[in-house]
This record gives sequence, structure tokens and C-alpha cells, in this order.
Amino acid sequence: MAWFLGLGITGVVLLALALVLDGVLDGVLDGVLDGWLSLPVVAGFLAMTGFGGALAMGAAGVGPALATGCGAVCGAGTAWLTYRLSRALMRDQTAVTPRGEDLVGTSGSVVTAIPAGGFGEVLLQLAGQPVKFAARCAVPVARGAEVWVEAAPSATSVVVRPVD
Amino acid sequence: MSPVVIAVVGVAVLLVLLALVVVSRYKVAGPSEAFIVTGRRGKQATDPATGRVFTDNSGQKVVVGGGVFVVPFVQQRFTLDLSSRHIPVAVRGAVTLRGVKAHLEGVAIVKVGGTEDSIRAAAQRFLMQQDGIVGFTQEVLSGALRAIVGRMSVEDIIRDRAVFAGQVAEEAEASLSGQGLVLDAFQIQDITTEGSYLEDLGRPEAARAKQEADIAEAEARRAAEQARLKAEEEIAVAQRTFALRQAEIKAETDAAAAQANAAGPLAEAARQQDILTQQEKVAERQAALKDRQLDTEVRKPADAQRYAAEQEAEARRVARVKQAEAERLAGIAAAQAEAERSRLTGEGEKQRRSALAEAEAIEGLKQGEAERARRAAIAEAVRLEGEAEAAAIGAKGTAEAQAMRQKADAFGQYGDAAVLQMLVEVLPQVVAKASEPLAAVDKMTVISTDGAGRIPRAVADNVTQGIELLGSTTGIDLAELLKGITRRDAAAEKVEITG
Repeated sequence: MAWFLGLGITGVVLLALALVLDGVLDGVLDGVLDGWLSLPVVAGFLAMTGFGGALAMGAAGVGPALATGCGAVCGAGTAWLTYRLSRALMRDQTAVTPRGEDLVGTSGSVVTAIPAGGFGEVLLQLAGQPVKFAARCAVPVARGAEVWVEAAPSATSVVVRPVD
Repeated sequence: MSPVVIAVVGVAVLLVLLALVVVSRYKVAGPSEAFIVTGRRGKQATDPATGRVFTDNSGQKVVVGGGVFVVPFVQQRFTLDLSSRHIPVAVRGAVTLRGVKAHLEGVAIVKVGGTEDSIRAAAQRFLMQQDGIVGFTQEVLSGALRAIVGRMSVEDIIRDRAVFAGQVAEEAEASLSGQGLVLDAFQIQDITTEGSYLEDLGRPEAARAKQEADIAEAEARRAAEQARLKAEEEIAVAQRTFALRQAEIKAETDAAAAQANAAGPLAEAARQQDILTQQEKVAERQAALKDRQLDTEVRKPADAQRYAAEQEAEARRVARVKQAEAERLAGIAAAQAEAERSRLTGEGEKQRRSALAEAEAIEGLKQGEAERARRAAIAEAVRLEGEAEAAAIGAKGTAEAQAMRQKADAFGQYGDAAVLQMLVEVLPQVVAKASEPLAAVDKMTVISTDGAGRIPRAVADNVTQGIELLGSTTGIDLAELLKGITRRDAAAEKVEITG
């Protein structure tokens, strides 16, 4: 009984340390088998095995061998759950970072008149936010005109043409 | 405490801790920061254009405003601040397009670009030195600003925002875009030039504005002054009207008051006049009475007396006229008688007188004859005497002429020398005589512009006059005489020369 409890408490202390000392013990077993043996999984398995065994012995009054089996099953379940949660979070299903190529095809308006062979300024919508870009055009474009973005040659400039 | 309870509590704590540990590995980026998670391996990708196989950079995740699960040790998460950075830019002595040196102060707002490629580029450069972004960019932008100013004139920098913005965009493209930085805004805050170029640009307009202001001020002042004077004029007119009206009223009231004041004395005077009139009447009556009294007492008796006297005088005059008439008649008669008597007396006298005159005439005749005889005798005597005297004179003259002739002959024989000698002998006397009046002078004051030179001339004049006097009295022209002598000499000399 004391062994089981000790094992559970050890796991809990490990987890608490991992949480408190954020990242110090975190990566001890990380990356092994693609996250299967990460610290939370291992600590969860150990602690759950201990507590599961203790419960089996204390509540059901089974022998130590059986209690160990029950604890191991519970621990494995916990470990699997922990692993699944980590995987779910690692899937990265959040908003995509905008890229320069996303600009091509969008429309915007000229805020500073584009001279022939020089830079003007256009205001474009990029990922739902207004961004001002330097813009070139084959023909001079007056201020306020609507333009299409034809290309994005650099991170801060675009090539536009007026909307016909 | 039973082991079961401990186990149950432990399980609960375990589950909570597990959840916390797993969730704490999931990081969420804020809206103004980007997570760069490194450590993963990139995916294999094939370039569709060239067919070249390469590993893309998907292993290096860029997360903006989203969550990411960071596997400890295997992956590392870095944070890049995307927020704007305020960068003051100052350029001193930048040469503008036309060579004017300008000092500029500007401000730039720079941030790391919001796109994935910008964030990657900026992370490579600034991740570990994000505070350095400001320093780097400041230096780059100072150079860029200097280049921009060099391509523009001062007026364009001030006025032409579009051109300036275009130039800034160009510079930013060249210098900042490759570093993943975005120039959000770049504005000139202050521009000054060396010398007074900018002040001179504004001076014509300032002068024009000042002129307009001065003109407007002057016009306003003029209008105000005119209005004030007009108001004063109106006030004066109103005052005049008021004063006149006041004077009129005063005159009226004064007249009324005077009338009121005079009413008493007038009434008094009228009463006095009445009294005087009455007194006058009384006096007239008295005078008439007196007149009548005088008439009766004085004039009438006087008239009577005068009449009596007149009558008396008339009577006397008539008496005297009558008397004179009688006397005149008596005188006439007497005179007639006297005349008659005188006539008779005159006749007698006349006869007597004629006899007497006759006698006297005879006597006178006799006397005249005697006298004539006496006178003739006297005349005869005188004639004889004269003749004798004339004879004597003629003899004397003849003798003198003879002497003169002889003298002249002698002179002719003597020649001119003798004449001259004589003249020389005589002339001092003449001159002495001429200067006698001057010799008699005791004290002389000369009042002449000629001065003392006048004196010898006076002497010479005297001599000339003396000679002329001599000529006119004696008929001898001394000057001619002298001239004749000299002519004769000249003729003689000529004869001698020709002969």
C-alpha cells in the first residue's frame, strides 16, 4: 500500500516540479518516440499506476499483484489520454500567418498618387487588416483610384494596375 | 487518514496537474507579437517550375496571433515584437537639389512586417537584439533622408508630399524591405536652411499680407475717424440747435421777465406822463392866461406908445423933408445967382490975362534970340579947339607910325632872333602877370580829381587867355606871329635844302 502511494506521490511531485520549473524537467524524455515518452505521459503513468494500485488495494482489498495490474491499466489509460491531448494541441489548427503571395489578386485604393516609373502608396487588406504598401504601376494612377494587385515583388511593395 | 482517501485525492491532483502541464506547453501569441518555433524538420517540396526538390521552411513555424504547442527540448519558441517603433531622424547640412544646405528633423514609424517572410527576415536579423532595431534603422534612414533631400528642392520637400512619399518608398524598398521592416510613416517635422533661404521664400507673401493689413487698418481707421467726425459734427449741430433754442427761450423769458419787471415802472411812468400832461395843460392855460394878461397889461399900451411915437416921427420926417426941400430950392437960387456973378467976373479976368500973355510972349522971343547967339559962339570955339587937337594927334600918330615902321624895318633886318629875344623878354612878364592871381593865394585847398596837376594847367590857361586878350585888344596875334616865324624858318630851310 505504502509503495503504491509513494509511487503516486512521486509522479505528482514530478509533474508539480515540471509545472513549477517550467521546462527544466520538461524535456527530459521529450521527443522520444514522437512524444510517447514525454514527462507528462511518464509521470501520469507512474502516478496513476500508484494511485490506481492503492485504490484497488484499499477499496477492493485485492492482492498486490492484482492491484499492480489494475494500477498499470489505469496508468496506461492516463498516459494515452495525456498523449492524445498533446497531439491534439500539436495539430496547430489556428489562424494561418499571412504571406506576401496572399496579396496577389486583392484590390485596394491609392493613398498617394502613383507617378510613372516611381513609387506611390496603396492601402490593401491583408488578413483582415489594412496595410499600406509601396506600389508601382505601368501608368500613372491618381489618388483614390481603385487598383488590383498584380504581383508582390518584395515584402513591402506591390505592382498594381488600375481597375478598368 | 485512510490510504483510499489519499489515493483519491492524489488521482484528482494528478489529473489537474497533467492537464496543467500539457496545456502549459500550448503558447498563444498576442496580437502584436510573432512566435517563431524552430526545431522541426521542414517538408520535402518540389519546385513546380524547375522540378528541383528542396526542403521548405515549414519546420520553422511563424505564428502571429495564434496558439502553438511547443515540444520542450525538441522545439524552441522565440518571440518577436511586431509593435511600432518610433525613430527620430535628424540630418544636418544635407545638400538639396539646388545646393541649398538644409537641416531636417523627421520621425519614422517602423515595425516588423506582418507577413511570414518579413517576420522570418527580421527574426534572422533582430531576434536577439530587438532594441537595436531603432539604432540600425535610424542610421539607415538618416542616410536615406540625405539621399532623398539631394534629389529634391527645398520647396518640393515642404510642399509636394506625394513626391516625397514616393522617394521615401523607393529608399525604404532599397534599404528596409530586405530586413523585414516596414516603414509605416516617415514625416518631416522640421526643416531649416542655412542662411535665410526659407525666410526669404516667405518674405514676399509676408510683405503682401503686411501691406494688405496696413491698408485695411488705414481704411478702417479712416472710416472710424470719419464716423467719429460725422458724429461730432452732428453733436455740434445738435448743440448749436439746442443753444439757439435755449437762447430763444431765454430771450422770450427775459423779454417776458423784463416786461413783467417794466410793467410797474411803465405804469408809474404812464401815471407820471398823465400827471405831466395834466400839468402841461395847466401850464398852457397859465401861459395863455399870462399872455392875455401881458396883452392887456403890456403889449397893448406899448403898441399904443409905439404908434404914437411912429406918428410923431413921421410928422417930424415930413417936416424935415419939407424944410430940406425949401433949403434946396433956396440953395439953387443962390448958386444960380453966384454963377451968374462968376461968369461976369471971368469975362473980365480973361481979357486981363490975354493981354498979360501977349506981353510975356514978346518978352520970351527976345530972350531966345539972345541965347541962340551965345550958343553959336560957344560951338564955334569948341570946333576950333577940336580941329587943333586933331591936327596935333595926327602929327603924333604919323610920327609914331613912322617910328614903328622904322622899328619894323629894324626888326626885319634883325631877323627872328631879335623878335624872339623880345618875346622872351616879354613872356616872363606875361607869365608872371598870369600867375599873379596864384601868387596872391595864401592857402589853397584843391578839390579836384585832377589834384595838384590842375594848377600848372591853370597858369597855362591864364597865359593863353592873356595872349588871346592881347590879340583881341591890340590886334597882334602872338601865336600866329610865332607860327609865322617858324614857318618862315621851315621855308628857308627847305629852300636851302633844295637850293
